[in-house]
Amino acid sequence: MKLFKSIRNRFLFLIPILAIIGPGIISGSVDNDAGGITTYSVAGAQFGLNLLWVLLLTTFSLAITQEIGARMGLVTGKGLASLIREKFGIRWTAFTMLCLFIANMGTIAAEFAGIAAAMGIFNIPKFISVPIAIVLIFLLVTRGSFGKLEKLFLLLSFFYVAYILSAIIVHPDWGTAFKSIFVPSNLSLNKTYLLTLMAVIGTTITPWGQFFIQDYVVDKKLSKEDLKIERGDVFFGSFLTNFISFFIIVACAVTIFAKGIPVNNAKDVAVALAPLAGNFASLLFAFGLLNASIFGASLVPVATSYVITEAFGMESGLNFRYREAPQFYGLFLLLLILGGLMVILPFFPLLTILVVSQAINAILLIPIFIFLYLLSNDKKLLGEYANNKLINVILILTLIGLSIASTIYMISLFAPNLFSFL
Amino acid sequence: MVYLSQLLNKNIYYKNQKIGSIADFAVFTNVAHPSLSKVVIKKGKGKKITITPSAIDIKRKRVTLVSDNIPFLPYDEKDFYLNEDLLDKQVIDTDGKRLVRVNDIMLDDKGELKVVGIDIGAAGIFRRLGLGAFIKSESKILPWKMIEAFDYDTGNVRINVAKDNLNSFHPSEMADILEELGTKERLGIVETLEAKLAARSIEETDDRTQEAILGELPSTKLSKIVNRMHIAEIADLFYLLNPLRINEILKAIGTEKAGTIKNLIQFSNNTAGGLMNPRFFSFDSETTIKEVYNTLYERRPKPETILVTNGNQKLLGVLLTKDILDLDPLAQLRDIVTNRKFVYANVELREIIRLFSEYNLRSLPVVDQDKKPIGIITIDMILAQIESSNRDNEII
Repeated sequence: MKLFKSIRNRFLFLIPILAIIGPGIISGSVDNDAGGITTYSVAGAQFGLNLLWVLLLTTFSLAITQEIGARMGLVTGKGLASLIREKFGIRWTAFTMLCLFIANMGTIAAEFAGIAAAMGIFNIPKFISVPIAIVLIFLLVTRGSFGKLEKLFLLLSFFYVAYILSAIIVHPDWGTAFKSIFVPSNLSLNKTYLLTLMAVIGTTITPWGQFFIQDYVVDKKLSKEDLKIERGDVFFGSFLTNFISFFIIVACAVTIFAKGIPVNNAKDVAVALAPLAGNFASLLFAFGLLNASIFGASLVPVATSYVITEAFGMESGLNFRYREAPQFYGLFLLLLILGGLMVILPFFPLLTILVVSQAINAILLIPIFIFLYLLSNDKKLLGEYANNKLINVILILTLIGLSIASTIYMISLFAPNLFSFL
Repeated sequence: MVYLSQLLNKNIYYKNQKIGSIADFAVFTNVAHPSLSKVVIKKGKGKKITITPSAIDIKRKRVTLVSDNIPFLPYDEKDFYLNEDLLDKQVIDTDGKRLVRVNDIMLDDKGELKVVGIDIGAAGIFRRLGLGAFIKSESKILPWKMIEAFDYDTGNVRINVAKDNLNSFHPSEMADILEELGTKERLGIVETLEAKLAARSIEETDDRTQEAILGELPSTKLSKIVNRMHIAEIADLFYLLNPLRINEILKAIGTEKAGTIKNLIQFSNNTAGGLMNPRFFSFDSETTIKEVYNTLYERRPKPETILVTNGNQKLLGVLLTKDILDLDPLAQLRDIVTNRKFVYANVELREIIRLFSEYNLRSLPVVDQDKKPIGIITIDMILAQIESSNRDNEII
């Protein structure tokens, strides 16, 4: 008895650490949602290892922007939307919320497209799988408790191991893969290449992820003392998400790209993997996609509704009843239904929704990061916790990179002939 | 009536020449209908001047300067500014006891400009987005005396019309607000509250909020507040707070209480030892009812429960004070005690809840290995535990 007690007391110091980790890892994992997995697998299938260099850059950008979000949340105790509202007023808030709504609408549709695709592998038509998913997710999120939901999500994050396994099964040349991370090859100004590049950026670093990390830290009531541990959490989360992305791209590159099989979506990828890597790899891939889609489809709509209603000062959050917070629940349901409809209705092409929504995410990041830059350098707001030089350099480089990539992408979209002389 | 959003950025003219535009108004805060104390005027890029409100004349569509020879007032950060400190910020609605966001500010423009209250309705949002003409919705105006606002830079509480507005809150209502506020504002409120209400409210918040508040309160206020908190609550925070802070708290509450806390923290949170209140009343079993009356006569507050021990200080049982009122004054406690339930310090919460519910207990003594009482658990502590574990499940 005495021994047990003394051992337990010795580990009591772990309690605060365990309470703090979570936001960074969950936020990072959700970046590998349906849109993410589709984008990475299409990137691997169409361009082999050629886009791996982007992952290296986005890892730094993601880590830094997530750290800023977490730090601002820790120090001010306020979400990003609140800070924008208080500092820049309601018009900029409305503009940001519009950006967020558009970007997230696309992301939510992408999550349902992921569910439809994954269930399609098991021959369940989307007219059945999507409505069921909407109902289940609404009940899971509104009736389940957040504490359990959070544990479930952390557990689901572990299933991303499925992708590491599918990559190992196909025996890639690890040396070449590793080299491709640091040395870009076969750069191109081709429209598909640019779209995929933008999508890889926009699926890794997302507007909603920026709001999510900060709100999460605020809701967990983390304080300045937790900053060190929380930094570790977001850095690890950012690394983890791209670590898994790396394996997805590699798995698709050495199988589908090497054989030159045309693929359009994650389902094609899973099906194409079967003869090349065996049924097991294919099943793992499908299961991973379903898991990621449900994960994303549960979190993104509720987080979006939370941020938007809160920014406009309405009652917001799952601890309110339906009648107390009608706007919050209404918007949540609207997002779920619209997202589902875009997938079910025949005239919306799934793949286009998936990849283009990720590219739009990347473009809409620009205004949000400008606010992030201004707020995180505000000494009145953060005092000694304002950005240091290194963080500012990486943030500005990210902004420049995003702007250049977006501009080139837009040009290739609307004036494709401009690059023909190259 | 006119809204702040309709005045901000309006051009100011003197003899048909543009001088600048309205950037902000400072107000005298501590009255029910505050009048303006200063007008901040934006003149070109980044250049601002501050003048007295009587120097401008606001008519429906046009703002004019009454003279070109007006003394400049100093711009003082400590003033309360409607645009900088209030518009778009969160304030406390002291009537509805909740946090609201200021969508617009309503002013009375008959005669001298005076603030009426804040608009928290959707109409305020649409008006400011320029959609007011297209979307009809109602304004919800909260009168000035019913709000408490914060200084944007420091988080200090600024409006204080009815002095006791905040102190009339119930601790649990205040706790909800403390949990939702930003860091600076949270500390600002705690510093304004009376120490007793602050202590009770902090105890009602979840562990992380308690940690955030006690971790950052300035030392003088900290010692006032922790001295009014329950020892068991402070013990719960022992491993959450930074060791330097803990030492400061232990010093503030004095060696006796500090010793009790050091005993309490041996027990984990979810066991009888972690839950119990280490302060209790115990009487020897041979004490008569009359003697108990005499001892309790001067005690305030009166204990709900008394413990009965035998000659070796070992626990015999527990009595509710209300149950001894109508008994023979000469009866000895050992003949009355019937409830002999107790727990050891390492018994887990789940088991304690079971005991409470199965035997309809109101209180339960906690004993050490020698069966000597070391604390007491009451039904309200159990309720608080159940409530807080439910609340942990509702983060977003």
